[in-house]
Amino acid sequence: MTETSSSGQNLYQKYLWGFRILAVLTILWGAYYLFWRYTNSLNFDYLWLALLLILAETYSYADILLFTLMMWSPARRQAPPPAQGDTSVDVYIATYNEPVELLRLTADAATRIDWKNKHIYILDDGGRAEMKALADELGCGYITRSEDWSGKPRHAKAGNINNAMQQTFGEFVLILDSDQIPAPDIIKNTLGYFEDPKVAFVQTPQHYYNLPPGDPFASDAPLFYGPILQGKDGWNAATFCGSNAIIRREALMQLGLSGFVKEVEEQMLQSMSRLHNELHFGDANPVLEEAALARFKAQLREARKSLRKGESIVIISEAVRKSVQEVRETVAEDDFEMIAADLAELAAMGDSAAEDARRFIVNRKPDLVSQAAPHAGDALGVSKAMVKSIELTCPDEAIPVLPLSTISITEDTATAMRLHAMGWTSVFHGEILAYGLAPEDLGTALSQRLRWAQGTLQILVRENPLFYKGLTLPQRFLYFNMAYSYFSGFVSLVFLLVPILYLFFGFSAISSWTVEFIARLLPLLVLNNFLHIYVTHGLNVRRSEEYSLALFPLWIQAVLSVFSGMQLKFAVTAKERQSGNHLKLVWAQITVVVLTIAASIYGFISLWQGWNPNVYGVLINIFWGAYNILPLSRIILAAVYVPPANWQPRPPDFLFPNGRPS
Amino acid sequence: MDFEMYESQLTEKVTLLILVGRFSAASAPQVREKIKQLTDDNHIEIILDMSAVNFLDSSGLAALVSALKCTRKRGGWLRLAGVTDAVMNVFKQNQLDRVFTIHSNVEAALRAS
Repeated sequence: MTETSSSGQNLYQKYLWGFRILAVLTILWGAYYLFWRYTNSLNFDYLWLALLLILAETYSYADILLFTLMMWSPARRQAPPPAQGDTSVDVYIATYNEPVELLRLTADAATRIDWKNKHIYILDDGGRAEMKALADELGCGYITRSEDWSGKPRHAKAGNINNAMQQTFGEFVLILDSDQIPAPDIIKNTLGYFEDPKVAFVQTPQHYYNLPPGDPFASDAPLFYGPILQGKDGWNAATFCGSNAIIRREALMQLGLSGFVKEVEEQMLQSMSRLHNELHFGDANPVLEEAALARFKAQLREARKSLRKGESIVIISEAVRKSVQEVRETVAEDDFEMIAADLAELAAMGDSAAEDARRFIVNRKPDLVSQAAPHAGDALGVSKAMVKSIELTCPDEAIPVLPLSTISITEDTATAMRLHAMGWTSVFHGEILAYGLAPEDLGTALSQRLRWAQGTLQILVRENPLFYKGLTLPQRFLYFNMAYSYFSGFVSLVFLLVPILYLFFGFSAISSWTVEFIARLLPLLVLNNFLHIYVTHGLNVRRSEEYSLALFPLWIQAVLSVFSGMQLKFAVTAKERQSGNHLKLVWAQITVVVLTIAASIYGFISLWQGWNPNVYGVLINIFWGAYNILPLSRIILAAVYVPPANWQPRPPDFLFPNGRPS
Repeated sequence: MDFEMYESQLTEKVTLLILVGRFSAASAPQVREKIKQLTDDNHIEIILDMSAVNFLDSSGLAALVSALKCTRKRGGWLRLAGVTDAVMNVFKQNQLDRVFTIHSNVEAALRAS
């Protein structure tokens, strides 16, 4: 049974040229409009407001550009034939505090995935006995965090998966959230893409079987898990969404290794700096050994330079080891020189054993030197540990630090970005192969979106995609776009406040509300809307679009929290409906609606009373206000949404041919 | 601390130096200093208790040979006591086991005078 996330092909998928024409028209007209706005319509009486508005409009225009780029050249993939064979695939089901009954559905269905060589593991970050019991009952593996993690940052789900990676061996890893019930074909239908050795992961859609009627929380995302990911896929920028994806282990290991190597490099650099500064010799033979010390320090500086230039760590480490060995041998040579000299003196006093020993030592010096050379730490006057930390290739020493946190999926988008930068490809496979749970109340929906927003924004702060080495230009813009879109919170706020400010106070962002203005704005609005309709035709997406405007407080909160560096908690999305009145969550939206309505009434009155003679201005702003209120009111309704009394969502029956497990 | 040294006067003429830990490049200078100081003060009969020395390298050897020479030059002697097998190997590898007088313990070293 194959179900795509969009029913059949929509306009965009069938007639790409139509999209391109519309997009170019929109962009051209938009440029014309903006130009006119900048040169003809700025109201210098209220420059602050005028600038705010025009900056907001410019932001939106850039958004259109990025959107067009994203959708310009979607991937047209042929689904590969169902895979066969006995490639090993690990199935990870990640959980933290979700109830056992939920995991039971997922794990039970997982046992029926149509693939011989699969190993199912429940990754229980909560370490609960009932999970272990479930795993045992269904014959699944059970993995929880080992002691290596105590005292180290846990990195939530990423750490959970990383931990499991160290303990399993499948060539591929299918990652499922605890609520994502897999269809039997999930491995068969996706493994074929990996015939191409450059494919790192295949992402499939997230689809929900518990959408409340009317989808008040706009969880369904057929636009994203459809045309948008297809568009990104066309630029090899299809991102990893954290669940319902199969990953090639080798890709992750390479990712982890390069991250590990980076950390080792930093460690080595630090150690070498400290070593360089703390070195001193014992005072046995200062002159000779000063020279050796100076030589060693010079070699250390060379090694640091090479490391910074990015040369092979193994080679550098070997070179440092040789330098250290040289120092040891210098010291030992000195020692034996002195021993021979003293033995000569003793021999001169008549000690024949001393003479024999002296001769022996002089003849066999090289061997004796390596046998009896002082340990590097002793020779250099620094701690053994410090020397060890740069002697990477010491065969009998374990690698001093195995930083678990670096061999990891940090978060979904960051992982995909790094993989892309390393030259891997990703695939979006638009067939629904897992069925999960959407939030059933507004609070849960909002906290989920906040988490996604903060996670994506963190990437911009930490590793700016625009300058990320290894990404192609389109990839850079598309990754950047993911974070860029969250700044729309501020932009939306401007769009919401402008009509209110005008109707109440007469603050005009535009120099004149005239036909000229309308004549230029209207076509742009029409074109832009047509563009969206074209892309989303056949998909039920109106909700998510409205939601973006209506969630402006959330986006603002996300941006502020990330850029102020506040600690972000990884709030696990509740998988059960949280009851309670959620109106508190939408106080900002309620305020705006109330103010807009009041402003509109005031506007009418001021027209009627003649306080504001500008008919066009008032009418335009009233319409604008009404246009704003619509999406806001929907989210307010979502806050008080109560599902119908007899509403019982259940996963599709085909997933449980023997009836749902209880 | 990787290395420690304790001093005690066994008899009027004989000094005991107890060495503990790693006798290596880091600790050798300390021992040299001590021997020089002792011989300068005319303590030229010295027993080194090596039973707690777990490591000896070329620098330690050099310090021992130098100590031997120092005491001998002034007409005294240096004896080693309680050398472990591992340390004994180091002497043997360098044919220094016949250059030093090595006793099984401090009493034996004392009685030998």
